Amino acid sequence: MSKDFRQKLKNELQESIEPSEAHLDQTVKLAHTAYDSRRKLRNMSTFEMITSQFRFVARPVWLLQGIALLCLCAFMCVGMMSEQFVSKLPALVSVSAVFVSMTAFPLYGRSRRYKMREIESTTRISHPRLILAKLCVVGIGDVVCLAAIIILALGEMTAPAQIVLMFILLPFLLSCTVSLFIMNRVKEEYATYVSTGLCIGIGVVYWTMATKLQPLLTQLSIGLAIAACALLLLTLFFECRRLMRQIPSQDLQEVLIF
Amino acid sequence: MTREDELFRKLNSGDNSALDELIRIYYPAILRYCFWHTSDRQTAEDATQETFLKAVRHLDNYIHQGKFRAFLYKIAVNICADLWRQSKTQVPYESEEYIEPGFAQAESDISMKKMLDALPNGQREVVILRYVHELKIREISDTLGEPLRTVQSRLRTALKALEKNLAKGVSENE
Repeated sequence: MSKDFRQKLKNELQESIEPSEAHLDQTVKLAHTAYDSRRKLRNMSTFEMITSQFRFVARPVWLLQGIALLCLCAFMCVGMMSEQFVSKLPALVSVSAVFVSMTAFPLYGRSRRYKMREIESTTRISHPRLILAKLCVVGIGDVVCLAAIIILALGEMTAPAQIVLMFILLPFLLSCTVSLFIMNRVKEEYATYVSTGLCIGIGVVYWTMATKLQPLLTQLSIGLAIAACALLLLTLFFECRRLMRQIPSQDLQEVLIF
Repeated sequence: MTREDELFRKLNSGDNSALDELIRIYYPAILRYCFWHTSDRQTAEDATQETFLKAVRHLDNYIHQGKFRAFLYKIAVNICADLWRQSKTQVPYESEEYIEPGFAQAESDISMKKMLDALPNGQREVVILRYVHELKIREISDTLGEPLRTVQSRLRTALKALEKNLAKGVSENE
């Protein structure tokens, strides 16, 4: 491509149009009015941001967790009538804990399937803070559910500390970590299914272990269970951090404006 | 630090007079762009004004990274497209049909503008932004929301077509 040709192109196309001073002044004046009357953005503290997001994020999650909790309570109340309840209790609570961890899937899966992370980000809310708000909502719901399970089962437990650690916290943390690990790495459309499958697998394994190896597991030292829980908690923390650090879109401001 | 960076720093620190200067810097270029894509001067001025007002309203959402020109052009592109949709008139900018340059130019002078009108939309827009408005390839890519490679290849194809048609026109005239 010759330089002359480009120059000719430039010369011919660059026709000048003189701006009207009056119109320019009017534009400047109107722009000032628009700038002064624009809705100003303000900084929010992390706490304020998270609590303000609860009304948008929390309702569906807590509704789902509430339904799950009601089902679990009903199931355990029915189970208490059985004579074998005490022997089956660890298996039951471990499966319940895994079930509780799975209540976060619809929220996360829906967000990914409909590319809601992009939309959420364009609201100019800090993406990590928004994810943190969601994690807080899920976490609060999970804690309530786990507390309810523990309270329900507490009276029937022979070794409460071991059962809480080995059969409630450990399966819960394990399924949370595994599912988040999968969600962060597996392709979007399969992530929810793979995580659900793995959590069901964890539930089945725990049920089998709790029914067949219960005496052995309850004899394990509390220190070992605490160490395992701490390790899983640490891994879960890193997975949450990874989730929060995901970059949703390069064109956040453009999507909002255009 | 460029003048633009300095103006944004002033604006962020509450000095609204920087806004005047920002508008005055880019007003002629945006007016020229709107004039290319609208039917008359009045419409072009309205479109230019609307571009700046929209930009100002959303200025808090713009994070300054030296792309303010592309930001303005992008708004202008959308406003001109909206205007065209409203008027439903056939202007070169949105014209879908591809006119074979040879036929269109057989009876006319070898005018770059006419040859440009004969190019497909995407190619024409790239040439206009590059050679009329002297935007960088990166800025054109940001303005049109197209990948850098696409912009480069469109520009190359358009220039080849223009050069070929120019040569053809010259030989026909001779």
